[in-house]
Amino acid sequence: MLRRIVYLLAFVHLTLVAAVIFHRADPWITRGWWERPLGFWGGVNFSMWRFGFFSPDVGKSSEIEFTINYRDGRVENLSTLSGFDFLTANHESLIRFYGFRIHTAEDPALQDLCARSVVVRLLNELGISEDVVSVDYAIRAIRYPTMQGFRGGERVETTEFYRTNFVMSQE
Amino acid sequence: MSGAAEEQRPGGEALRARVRAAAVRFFCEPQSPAPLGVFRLLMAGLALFQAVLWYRDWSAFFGPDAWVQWEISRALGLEWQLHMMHVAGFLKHFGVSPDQSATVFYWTYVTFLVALLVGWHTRVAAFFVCLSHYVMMNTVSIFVYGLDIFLQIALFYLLVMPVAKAYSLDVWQGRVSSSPSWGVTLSRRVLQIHLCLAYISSGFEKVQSPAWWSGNVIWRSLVQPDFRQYDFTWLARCPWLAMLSSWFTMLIESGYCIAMWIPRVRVGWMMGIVVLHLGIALFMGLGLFGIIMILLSISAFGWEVWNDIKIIRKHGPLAAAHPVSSSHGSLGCHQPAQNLIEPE
Repeated sequence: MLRRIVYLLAFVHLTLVAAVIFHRADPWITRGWWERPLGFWGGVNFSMWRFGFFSPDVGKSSEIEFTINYRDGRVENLSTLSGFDFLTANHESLIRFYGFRIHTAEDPALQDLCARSVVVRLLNELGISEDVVSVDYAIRAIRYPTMQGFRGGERVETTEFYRTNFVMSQE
Repeated sequence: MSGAAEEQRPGGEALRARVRAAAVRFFCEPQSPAPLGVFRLLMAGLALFQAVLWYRDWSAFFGPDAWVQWEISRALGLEWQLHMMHVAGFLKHFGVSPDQSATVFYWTYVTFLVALLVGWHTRVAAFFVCLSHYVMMNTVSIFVYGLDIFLQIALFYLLVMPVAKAYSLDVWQGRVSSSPSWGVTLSRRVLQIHLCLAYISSGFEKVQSPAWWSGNVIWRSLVQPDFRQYDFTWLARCPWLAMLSSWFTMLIESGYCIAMWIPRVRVGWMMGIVVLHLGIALFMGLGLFGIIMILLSISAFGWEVWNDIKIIRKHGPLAAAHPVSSSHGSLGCHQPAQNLIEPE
C-alpha cells in the first residue's frame, strides 16, 4: 500500500512539473483553494518553475551609479560599469546583483525601498555617513545592438529609467 | 472486421504485457543505491562550498541590515513564507540579537550540511538543510538565480530520496541498509525525468525564439556588462560562430530527454552538457551554476554513462549495443541483462 502511495506521489509530482513547463496548468493553477498549498509546495521544491533561461532573449543589461556628495564639496562616483562591486568578497556574490537589478525594475515602489536600503548599507559599509550631504542613485538600462547592427556602427543604447536622491539630515 | 480484431487481440495483449513488464522493470527493479550516494555527496559538497563562499558576505545578504533589509525582503514574500526574520523572532526568546541570529543560522546550516555530506542521521540533516535553504531563498528572493533554484530542487530530493543507503555513516553504523530497493530505482527515475523536463523546457523555449536562431542571444550574453568576462566584441565579425554556439545549445538541451536514454549516444551528450555548462561558467562567469548543472547530469545519468564508457573501452565504439536492462536507464529494451551496477 505504502509503495503504491509513493509511486502515485512521484507521478503527481512529475505531472505537475510537466504541466507547468508546457503551460498546461496556467488557466487553473492560481485559481482556487489549492493556490496556497501549491504555492508552498512549489516554493519548497520548485516543481512549478519554468526553465527557459535566457529565453526568448537575454534581456537588457543595466548599470547602477551612486554619486556621493561630501560636505567638503568633493563628489565621488561609484558605478557598476566602472568596476564597483558592492563590496562583495567574490564573483559569486556579485552575480546576484544582476537579479537584483532585474527584480527591482519591476515595480517603482520596490525600487524606492531597495534604493534607500542599498544607500544606507553603502554609507555604513564605507563609514562615511557623517561626511556626506547627499547621494544620487541612478539605474540605467543598457541594450546592445544585434551583431549585424554592431558591425554597421549602431551604438549601445543606454536609457536611464530610475533616479532618486537622498539628502542626509543636517543634525 | 470483428474477426480480424479478435485475431489481433492476442498480439495486442502480448504487446501490452511486454510494455507493462518493461515499465515495471524501469521503475521498480531494485538497483544499487550507489548513484544516490554520489548524488548526496555531490550536492551536499557543492552546497557546502557555496556556504564557504557566502561566509564573508553573509551579513551583507542575510543580516537584518543587509543590502536589502529584512523588512523589505519580508514584505516581498507571502505572509506564510518562512524568512530569516522568523528565525530571529524565535531566537529572541533565548536572548539572541537579530545580528547574532543570522550568524547562528549560518553555522547551524553549515553543521547540518556537514552531517548530510558524511551521511550522519541523513534524513534529519537533509530536512534541516532543505528548510534552511528555503528560508535563505525567501530572505534573498531578490538576489536568487538559477543556481539556487536547482540547489533547492536537489535538496528537496535529498530529503525524500533514500540517499543515505550508500557512502554514509548511517550505513557504516548500521542505521540504514545498503541493499538495492525499488525506492532507489524510483528515486533515480524521478531525478532523471525531472532533469529531462528541465532541459526540454529550456530547449523548447529557446527554439521558439528568433534571437536564439540568429545567435544574437549568445552575442549579447557575452558582451553585455552583467556577464562579460572577456572582450567578445570581435564575435560580431564572426556571426557564424555565435550562431553555431547557439544551435549547439539548442540541440543539446532539446535532445537531452531522448539522447540520455540511448546507450553510447548519451556519452556524447554528456560531453556536450559538460562543454555547454563549462562554457557558461567560463565565459559568463556563472561558475557555480555551470557546476551544479554538470553535477546534476552526472548524478542522474553518470552511472549509465560510466557503464557505457566501460563497454566502449572494452569492445570499441562500434560494438553492438549492449543489451541494456532498465537498470541502465534505457527505454524499450526487453532482454534480461547482466547488471553492471554492483550492489554495495
